[in-house]
Amino acid sequence: MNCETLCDHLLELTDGSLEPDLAQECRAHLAACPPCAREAARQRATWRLLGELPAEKTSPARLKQMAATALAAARATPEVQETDLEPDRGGAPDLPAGLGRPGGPGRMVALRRRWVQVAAAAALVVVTALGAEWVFHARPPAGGPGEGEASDCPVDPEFVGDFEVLRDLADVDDSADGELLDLDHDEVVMLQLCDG
Amino acid sequence: MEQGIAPDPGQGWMAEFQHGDDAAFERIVVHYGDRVLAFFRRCGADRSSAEDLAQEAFLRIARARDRYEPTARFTTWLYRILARIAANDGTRNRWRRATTIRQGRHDDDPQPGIPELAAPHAADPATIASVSDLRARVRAAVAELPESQRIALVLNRFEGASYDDVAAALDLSIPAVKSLLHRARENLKQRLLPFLQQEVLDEL
Repeated sequence: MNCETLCDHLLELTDGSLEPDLAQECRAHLAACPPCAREAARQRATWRLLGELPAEKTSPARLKQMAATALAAARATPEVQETDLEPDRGGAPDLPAGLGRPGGPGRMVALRRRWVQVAAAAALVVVTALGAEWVFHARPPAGGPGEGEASDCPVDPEFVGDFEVLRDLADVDDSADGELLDLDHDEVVMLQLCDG
Repeated sequence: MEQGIAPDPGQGWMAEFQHGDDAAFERIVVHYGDRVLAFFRRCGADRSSAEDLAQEAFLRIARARDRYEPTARFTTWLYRILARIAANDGTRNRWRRATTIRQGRHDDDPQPGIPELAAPHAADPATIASVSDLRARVRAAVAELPESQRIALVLNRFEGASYDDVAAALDLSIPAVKSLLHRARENLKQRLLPFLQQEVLDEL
């Protein structure tokens, strides 16, 4: 065995999946070749460092809650989406053929809590805009309902702050904008269920 | 390497679920839940995002109730779902997005659950004061990998998925999976080199 052949087998050698006979040949080469031995040691050390990422435990109660949420959402939208099970054929720059594109149809579940806030903020914006439009066109008398509602509008700065953060995100990541707002019906239903 | 999801009772539970036993679905989630969450965490998602991604995975399993066919091991099917969610959702994008949101705020407003992104290029072993620091470096190095490399790496090294399983999950040939893992390891090695030197010294 030479150094080149050893390199071909190093991945499987260091993860322990190489056939025993071949592994023995590799080990014999490593014993006689300090550069290859150092490389093998680096690779083993790389895998060992990855062992520094321990798994975390989630309580069974929390997992049962997640199961109930998933079941309720599945009942609300029982149809299986093709995209649930089949690979995205769209391709992606850094993915092999057959894998989904990173910026593909958004799955906004991760931001569901913020989504509820954004939805509230968006609704508020619409209502406020409609109110302003009404004020502008109808020109109600001073102190009328239009002005009163506008001035008393209970805007939560935090909601608007989140909305602004998400809105501004479009400036730094074009793909994120479409993704952020690309909730399909199923996801909206699930978000509603998640958030009670 | 951690061992795979074994035993693999999911197939039987899925059959029971198909016959109307919702408790079987709960058993699936309780049994595989930690591994599903760990998969997304190791792909770079913060804890809150990992929970949401896992929730999506469970939803997909639940919605596949009538359509699931036990033609392969349950875990192989599960890996495929996880890989698809990770690829489509772009855990790395989510990581970046979470960081962007954090940076967009002015930073007396720390957000719980959003990770501090380590600065791998500024890595200096002398500054690594604790195991948790080292974990943060390793986590960041994994999160920086190209998506397909990251998914293959996490499935293979942490979930114990065989090359066959990774190939099925990613729609790739086995040589392509080996190539991905080789590149992932090389990338990690470069990113973690300052720490590897000490590790290698310890080993030799």
